[in-house]
Amino acid sequence: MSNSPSPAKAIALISGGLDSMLAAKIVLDQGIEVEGVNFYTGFCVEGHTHAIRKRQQSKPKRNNALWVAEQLGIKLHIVDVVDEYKTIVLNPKHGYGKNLNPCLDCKIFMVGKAMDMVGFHGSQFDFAVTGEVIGQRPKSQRRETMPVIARESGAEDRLLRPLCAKNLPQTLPEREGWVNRASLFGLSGRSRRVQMELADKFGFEDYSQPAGGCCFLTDERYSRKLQDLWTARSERSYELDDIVLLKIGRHIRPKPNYKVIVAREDGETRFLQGYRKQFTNLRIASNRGPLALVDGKPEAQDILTAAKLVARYSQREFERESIVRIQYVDGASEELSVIPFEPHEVPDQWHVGV
Amino acid sequence: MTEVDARGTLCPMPLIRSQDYARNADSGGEFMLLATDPGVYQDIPAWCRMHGHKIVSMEEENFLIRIVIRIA
Repeated sequence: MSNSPSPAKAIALISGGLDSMLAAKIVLDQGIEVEGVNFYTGFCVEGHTHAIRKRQQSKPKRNNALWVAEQLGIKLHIVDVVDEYKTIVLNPKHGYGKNLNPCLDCKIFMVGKAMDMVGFHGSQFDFAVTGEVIGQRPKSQRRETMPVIARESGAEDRLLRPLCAKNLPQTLPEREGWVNRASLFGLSGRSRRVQMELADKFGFEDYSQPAGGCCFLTDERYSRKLQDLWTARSERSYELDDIVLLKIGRHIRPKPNYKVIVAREDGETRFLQGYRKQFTNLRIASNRGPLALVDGKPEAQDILTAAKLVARYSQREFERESIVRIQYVDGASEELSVIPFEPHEVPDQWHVGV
Repeated sequence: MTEVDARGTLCPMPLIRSQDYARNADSGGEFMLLATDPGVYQDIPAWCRMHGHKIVSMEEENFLIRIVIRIA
């Protein structure tokens, strides 16, 4: 790490949103060498499938953290923290926000991981940079949580928040003269006006501003689906495949012992095909229709219900019955002729997360 | 040529697996990324531009995407 005023190096947490982009830019403009880091938790909105992207065809199909780093002209490191992150989601020391979002623990974790990158790949970073703004987020970005994050992450005074630094005590990079405090900002609250003005000033266009942040755990429906998974399994645990599948398809639970995941479009069907060896799966044989996976321990009668559900979402023409092909995990297969459920035969409470 | 298998994974996992391989591989060496998420068409070129890697070839057949990358 540097002991002299320059050159200092900073590692900036890049979410893909505007605030972290601005924070990194402010530090870059002070002559600091900056690299970015983005942590992949499995819950990241950035981790899109083509299927999910297809639903938003008017928007560019891109990873916003990568896009931000390119705009800034900095290197970005994307780090897989899926396994380590489970502790944060399952047992957050500071609790959850409105949904299953452990935002304060998450920020502490990510800043701590960024601090671990001192010495990463031969690089030496002197301090970490985040796009936090006091009062911006109800769970993690409050005046009283700022020192908690700095302390519990281990960053202490090596954590610089350029957008709200003037509202906080001086940090090491300011005291050492690596960055000029006068060029930092004193933002607070939920207004985005100054950030938008700064974006204009820096010439940033087409930046991402996800309403719920960059994490599916802030999404009410997604959180309900995750809670449903834990309830059905009678334990709070998950694997990456579990949380990825919660992002895809209709999740329908007719009974506690199983649920059916029905693809909503061709892209989702194509993606779910990758899971055919892990799950009993169903597909319409007689006409076009989606692929569906059965998660849990269904009984024979449940497979019939699942088949009627899949037929319900197929492109039906004039025939009354549909042939559904069922492929079991043990390799066995069969075909069932079923009368598709009518919409009113699928109770609202079967739809998980809705 | 070493194959980095990211079939069945979603972006950014293909990128992470490429990055983890490239970090410990020799400069100038090549590897082939196997992926099924079309997100790699945007993410991998962006990552290569950023880190100075070169895309040697990119092809798709039956939804399997093969990208040969030369490490900077």
